Amino acid sequence: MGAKQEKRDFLVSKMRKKTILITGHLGHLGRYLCQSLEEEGRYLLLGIDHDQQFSSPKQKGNLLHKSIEEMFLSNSIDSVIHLDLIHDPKEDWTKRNIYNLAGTNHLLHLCSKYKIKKFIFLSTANVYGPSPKNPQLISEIEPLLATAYSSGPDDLVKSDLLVSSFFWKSPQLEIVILRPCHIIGPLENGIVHYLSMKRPITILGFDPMIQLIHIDDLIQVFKYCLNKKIKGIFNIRGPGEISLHRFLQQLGKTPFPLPTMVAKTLMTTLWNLQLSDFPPYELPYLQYPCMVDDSLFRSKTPYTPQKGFSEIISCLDDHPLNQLKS
Amino acid sequence: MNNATKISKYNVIIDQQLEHFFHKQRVEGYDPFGLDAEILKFWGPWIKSLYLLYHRCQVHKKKNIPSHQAIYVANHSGQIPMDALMIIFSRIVEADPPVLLRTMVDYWVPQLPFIGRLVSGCGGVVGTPENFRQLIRRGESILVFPEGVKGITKTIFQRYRLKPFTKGFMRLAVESKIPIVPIALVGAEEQFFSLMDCQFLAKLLDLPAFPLTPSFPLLGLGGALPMPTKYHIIYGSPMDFSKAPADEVHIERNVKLVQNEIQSLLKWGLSRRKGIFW
Repeated sequence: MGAKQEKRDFLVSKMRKKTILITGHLGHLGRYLCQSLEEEGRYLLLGIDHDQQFSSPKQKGNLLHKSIEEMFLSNSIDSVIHLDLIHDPKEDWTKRNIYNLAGTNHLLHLCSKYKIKKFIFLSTANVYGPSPKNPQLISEIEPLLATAYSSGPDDLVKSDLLVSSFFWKSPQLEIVILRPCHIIGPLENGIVHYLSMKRPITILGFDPMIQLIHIDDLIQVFKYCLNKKIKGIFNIRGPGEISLHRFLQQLGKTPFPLPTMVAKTLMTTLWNLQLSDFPPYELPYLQYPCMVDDSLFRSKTPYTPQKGFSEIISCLDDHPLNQLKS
Repeated sequence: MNNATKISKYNVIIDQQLEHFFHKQRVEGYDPFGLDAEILKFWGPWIKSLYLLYHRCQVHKKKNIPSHQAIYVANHSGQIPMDALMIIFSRIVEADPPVLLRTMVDYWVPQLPFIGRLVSGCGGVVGTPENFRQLIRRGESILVFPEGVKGITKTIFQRYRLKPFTKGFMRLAVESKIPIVPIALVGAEEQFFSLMDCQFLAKLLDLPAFPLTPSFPLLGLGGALPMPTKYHIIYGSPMDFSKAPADEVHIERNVKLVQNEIQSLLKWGLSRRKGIFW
């Protein structure tokens, strides 16, 4: 009888939908991820987002708000996917720093306190920084030097390091830090904006190799992380590498090459006058490679990118930003 | 073999190699290190002319060139890295199977507009240990110049005296258990009569060196053209360090062994050549 009960409990627990808290579920990537997980029907989704103007059938809140603890109290959360970082380069840097760092810290402490099983954090491969001294394919053990090579905000690097520190602060928490290359999809991130420019700026005499990943492949990565017993830091890349000029050529764009000094001066001036969306501190990414080696993730999961460059190009072609400009 | 026969033989090999790279690009995707079949196709004929007509390269001890994966270690000279180009070309056309060597280049090379892209397009890779390991894992053969910038910027008064070798290549050769092929290149030292290295101007222009020659910078960029000296490329016997200990004492001793081998190949080449232009 006891064995039967145990077996039934085991089956019930297996059949029970996993509860996943997604922070940043109102962002482009968050919405896409929620939709994709909902379609599977195996998950019960909860959400928190810093953008509170939207109303959602799910719960809403702010990472810095104390009330989010109620969400942990009233739900038996299995996993947390943390996407809610402010990436907007035009946002006030202090606000970005406070929200991204204090918010992430608050969330991690709650996960630790309520013994959440898994915490998945979406960082970026850009934290390694672009440099001529970089290994061509950077592995997870390399230092995060983004702010050493470009003078941009350092909150993304700090957030990544903050999450890493919880590997020893909360060893029971299965932390996964994902550092994917540039994500292409129905998003409005920096790379999509750049590739949607009518004539994307390039630096004269430079043609760095780049990596791109289709959003559908990234969703697969999230699913592997949710379902597999893995923890650690993982670089994620898409179908391969391609030179920036060749990609622009395949995309049907004519680059607008500028000498380094001219590009720096022009972009800084336009940025300061709020006439450009392209932050000048990102110019080094147009000169030097910042590409990652994802062999560690591939060795732990059956992940293989399903979308090639042709799908990435058609995704960009169909993007509303491109449609608008054409 | 006269020049016409050589040209037609080389053309066949180059066409086959280009076809191989284009095919690889189509099937496996682009090389993550930036090797570009289009760039090779464009520059191939120019490099061939430099090899055959300008520097009239002559390869000695071809039987020492292995058909398997190897680390090629050579002396560096001549102010501009023509020696690397000529060694790479010689390994493609002078031995079977043709192999495009991946050259390890200094950190400052990718910082040079146009040149950085050209170098990576032709197979050059920034010389970090991780890049070295990744190339070895991919089955590539590698060309290294352990003298680095100090070697290539030697003045004419220091010609054919090797600068101390760095040890990184030996550590990685021991780690990967891949044999080392020593190469000596005679002829590049005299392509520029560098009288001195003006460090003041080099620092001002953010360059690793600024050679002063009788013609440069007096005659402008025209004075920076290398003289058409004849190149002799001498391949030494492969050296196996797969069983060598990886401690620093042995690494240093083995680096010295390779350096001495290249120095004696240089002596051999210098004693056999009749003059700098023939």
